[in-house]
Amino acid sequence: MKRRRSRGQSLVETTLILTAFMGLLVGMIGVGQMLFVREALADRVHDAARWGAMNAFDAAAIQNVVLYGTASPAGSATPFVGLTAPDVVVANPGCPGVDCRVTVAIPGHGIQSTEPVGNY
Amino acid sequence: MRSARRERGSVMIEFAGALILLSAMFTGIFQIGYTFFTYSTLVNAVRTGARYASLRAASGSASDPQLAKSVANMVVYGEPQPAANARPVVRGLAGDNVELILGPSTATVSLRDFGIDALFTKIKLAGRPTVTFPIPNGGSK
Repeated sequence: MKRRRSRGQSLVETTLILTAFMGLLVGMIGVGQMLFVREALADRVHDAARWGAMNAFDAAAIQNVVLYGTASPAGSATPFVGLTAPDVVVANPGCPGVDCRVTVAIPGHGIQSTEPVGNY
Repeated sequence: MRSARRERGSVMIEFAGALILLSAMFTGIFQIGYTFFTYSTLVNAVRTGARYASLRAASGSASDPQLAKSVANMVVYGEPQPAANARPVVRGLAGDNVELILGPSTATVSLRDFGIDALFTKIKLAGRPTVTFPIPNGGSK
């Protein structure tokens, strides 16, 4: 009699716990993915600013470094995580001058990098 | 029935004990993780500022009175002339915390009087991080 009364209970418990557990798992994967993309973008932006400081200023080429990982990409290249050139803001404030620097930013992701251009 | 009723209270006590232990553990793990993460952010920020200072000094700005301010901004905001609404790389970090020492052939940047605010405790950083960069070509030209 007792067994029969508690037979459905384990199913209900399993469903409850599985829902919570799956939610947690999906959330963790989501946060991890977001952080991964953010770090990868920050790395690209930093690389692009460095490239910009080492070469004659060329905003389009610097954008290409962010989007494609290279200043002169192949025609078939696809941009990084669906970015487009207008998403990447490039500037060279203080140039020419002692405080000449290259700034690269992706405002949509809150990423910014400044690289000084050493003109010593 | 009788025994289940008698054990009801002990389950609650066990749960309370476990909760105290677990929450203390999670708090500790969070604090350690957050502190290391923040410290590495600070090292990177100070490094960026020291490199900026050494390049500026190499291009003849060593005597520029605005240099210290620009270096402090580079550390705190990642940009020598930040936008008005720029936010510091680490919460609570301000230009006053940044110290620049220019030697004849080196630029040293360090943080002073700054602590990492890890939710329940504040970890004081005694003069760290400190980064020294050589000034290219040994100084102003």
